[in-house]
Amino acid sequence: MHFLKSLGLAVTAAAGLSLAAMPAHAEWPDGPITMLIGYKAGGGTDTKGRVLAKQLGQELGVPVKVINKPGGGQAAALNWFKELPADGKVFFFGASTGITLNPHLKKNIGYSKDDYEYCCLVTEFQPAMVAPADAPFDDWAGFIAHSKANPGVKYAALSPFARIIMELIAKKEGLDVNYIPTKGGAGMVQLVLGKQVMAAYSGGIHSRYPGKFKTLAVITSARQAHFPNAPTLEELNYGLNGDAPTVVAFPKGIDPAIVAKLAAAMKVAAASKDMANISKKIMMPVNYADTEAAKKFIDGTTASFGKMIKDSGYVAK
Amino acid sequence: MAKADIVGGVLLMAFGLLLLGWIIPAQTHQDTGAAVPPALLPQICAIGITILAAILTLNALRGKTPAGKPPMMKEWAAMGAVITIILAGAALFKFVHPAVAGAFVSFATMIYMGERRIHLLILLPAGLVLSIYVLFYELLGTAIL
Amino acid sequence: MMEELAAGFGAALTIYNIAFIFMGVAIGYLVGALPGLGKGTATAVAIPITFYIEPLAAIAFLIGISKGSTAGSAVSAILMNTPGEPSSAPTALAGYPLARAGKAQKALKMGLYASVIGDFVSTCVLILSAQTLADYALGIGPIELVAILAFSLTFIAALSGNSMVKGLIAGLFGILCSTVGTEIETSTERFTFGSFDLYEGLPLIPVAIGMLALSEMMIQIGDRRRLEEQTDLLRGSGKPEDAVVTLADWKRSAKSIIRGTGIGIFVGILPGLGASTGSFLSYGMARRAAEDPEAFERDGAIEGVAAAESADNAVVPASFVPLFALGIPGSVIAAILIGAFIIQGVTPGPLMFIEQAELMQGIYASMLAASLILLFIGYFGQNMFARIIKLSPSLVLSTVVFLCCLGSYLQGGGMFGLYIMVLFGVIGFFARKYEFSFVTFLIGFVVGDGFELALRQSIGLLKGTPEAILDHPVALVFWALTVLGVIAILRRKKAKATTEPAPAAAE
Repeated sequence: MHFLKSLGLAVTAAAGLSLAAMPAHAEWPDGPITMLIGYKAGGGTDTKGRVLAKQLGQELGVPVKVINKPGGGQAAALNWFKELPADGKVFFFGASTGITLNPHLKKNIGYSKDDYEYCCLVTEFQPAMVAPADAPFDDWAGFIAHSKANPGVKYAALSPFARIIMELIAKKEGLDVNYIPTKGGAGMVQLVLGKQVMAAYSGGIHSRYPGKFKTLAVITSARQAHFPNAPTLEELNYGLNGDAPTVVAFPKGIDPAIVAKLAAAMKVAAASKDMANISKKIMMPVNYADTEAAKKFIDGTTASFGKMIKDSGYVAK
Repeated sequence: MAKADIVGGVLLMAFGLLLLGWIIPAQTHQDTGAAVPPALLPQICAIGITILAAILTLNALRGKTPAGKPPMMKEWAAMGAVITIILAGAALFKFVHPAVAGAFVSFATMIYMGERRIHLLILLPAGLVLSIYVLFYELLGTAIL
Repeated sequence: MMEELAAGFGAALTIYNIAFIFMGVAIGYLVGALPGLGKGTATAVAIPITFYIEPLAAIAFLIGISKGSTAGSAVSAILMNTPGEPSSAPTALAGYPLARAGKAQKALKMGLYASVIGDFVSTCVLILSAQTLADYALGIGPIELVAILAFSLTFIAALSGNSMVKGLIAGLFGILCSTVGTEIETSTERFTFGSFDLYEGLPLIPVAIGMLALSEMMIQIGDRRRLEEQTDLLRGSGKPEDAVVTLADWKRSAKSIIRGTGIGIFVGILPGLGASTGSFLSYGMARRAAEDPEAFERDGAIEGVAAAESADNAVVPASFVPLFALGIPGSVIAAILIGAFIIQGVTPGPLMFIEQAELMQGIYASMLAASLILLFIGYFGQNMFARIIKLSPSLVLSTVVFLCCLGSYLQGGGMFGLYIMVLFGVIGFFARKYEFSFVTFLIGFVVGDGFELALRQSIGLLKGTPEAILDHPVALVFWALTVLGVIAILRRKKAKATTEPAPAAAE
């Protein structure tokens, strides 16, 4: 009797121990997972995301569904996402500037970088300052000269950041700029191709129209392969940059094993042929960076954007 | 309809004034430096609504309104019933299960309308939920929840 | 050019491709006819399927959906007074009274013919002149757009129904609702009450479902007796000429169809306007041109149905003009399609014609084939739906309520969309019962957004040089039309007031 009882106890204990030793999500993903995108269907981020989702689905063996929650420059999506349980069922894919930059621009935005756990970086936006192909100047210096000679130069700003960058430049160079608001990249393209503005901020969409745009300067901190002759704003001594790789994130409290699994799957998906094709078409190069690098980037860039905005004297609304 | 118009007109005037005096200033930023302040278009709409509502009320008082049919009791009841059913469905969605919520909405509406044929009361809600499930989860492979 | 098109037909007319076009149009028609579901949902949801099929078939499939749903939405508009899409709201206004008079088949058939004609002609225009039109469309900048939209807004008065004051109130309320969300220029929130769901504004689909479909359901569920009468009438009046489109009907509607197609093409080419704007404008013009505008909504008007349906179907292919030629989406559908295109390896834009010439010709041929297939599917689809409607109302209406919930959940971002639908369902109920035109609300809501942005842009562009507006003849023309329109409205109202004796307060 004693023996059986102890055996029973031992077996139970062993079972209990092994159950406890099993990580909670050893089987992730155990069902369909969802990719959250903070923009409308059809945009650059959304398109990339959908292709990635398809590849991920094949990698992980479960359907990866995409949902769009547009609004407030990803603020709607990020706020909603912040409240979700950290069970690995939903992950966020979007422009990192939503997390690194926007909280500096908007009071009470509702979230901060510490609300999320970062998985990896995937692709890079290629923002630049552009002008119509038939503008009466060929490069950045020419643009500055033209603006000085023609006060009230029209500039299309498709986001608060686009406007701030130009405001800072205008302050430094003593320019008088006329800011024309526009809705998204498509709206900007219309204004430029329709010859309504002399310059614009482009998030990268201009590369879809070869021959119709002049790239005056690039806003990433390094020169862009497609426009090797365009200087960076940093080279031009404005102390500005808009580095914006896309980031994959989970809500805080996620099991690191899940993060690692997704990061590995993302790496494979990002290297797929479909991604390479798309990247070529919409010129958003794939530039995978792993979990460590992602975390470092988010922390570092949030700080540097914060400094940049503060130095500019911009007051968050 | 004159009475309804008077009541409606007064309510709308109140709404317009509420907008101008309270909601618009509270819900729009004032000092933004843009040429057209964000509050301008809403203010124009609110002013327009208030003035038009005043005209509406005056016209009704003077008896100049075209005849119309106010809602019957049955229609009010139906509105209340539909809202209740949908909101109850939302609660079921959150606390029980989405499929139950969907079936409930279909079922409850049929019951409210007087449907008593048991086989339909069961088949239609079940059929709807099942076809949605098959369509999205099996054929399309996209989870919608 | 003809040889390429012929080659395109060759590629398009394979069984494989035709099968997908057929499926797309059929699914689209079904989705359009069902209130609550819309082409936006259908297209977005269908995109993942297209990963596994060839590019031409995939794109033809998606385009088929958008064509089918724009035509199918007339069915529920006419038979149940619940438009399947906002763009069929005018069709409900003019078509439902016809159905109640036993002329449902006539109205449905005219709706289908008008849709197919508008669609086919617009597709031809797209094929023949995409590049030219696109370049022309680029010339329509914010300064022109604000004038065109101001002109569109004057139709609010024209479509007010019985009471212009009420119609204007509804229109202003619509514009007010369009201001909810993040204001573009200053990036500040308006009327979001702290809810980040509202950052992007009130979502159109749940608002439309609530106002157009759910509110009507509330009324119909409440008025069971009238429903039973109606179900009888929907069977048809028994007179054979009420079940077909007669020569007289064609004569009445010919102008509306031609005008509607033209308006649809014009509106479609301009990015930012949609099928709804096209159908409202066309309907408004048809009504203005009629001898007895009041009769349009009272007795129903076949030319009203023709005007609305030809216009909204003409918008769809025309909205691909900026998409194909410039890569700029001209409508919500085009925006969704951009993503689908890119995923299939095609970048919409000027390069498309060079790099993917064969594919383009195949797409064109598929679109033409889709127009013809639409005629076929519409014919049978209508019969099927007309039969379904005759089933017991408790089955039909409860299913519509279910679909409304599903549609607003899918297209409104979850439960939030559902709540918006309920809110606007209540508002719509009051609007319908107290004669505040919900059509004018929709016009204000749909146009208001674009109008404000175009206004801000225009002010920015003209700053410092206001005389530059003289360089924009198109804008000046539309402003003139707007002013003339307002004058005409005021004059008509005055004439009505003097000829109409004040009715005794009947209460």
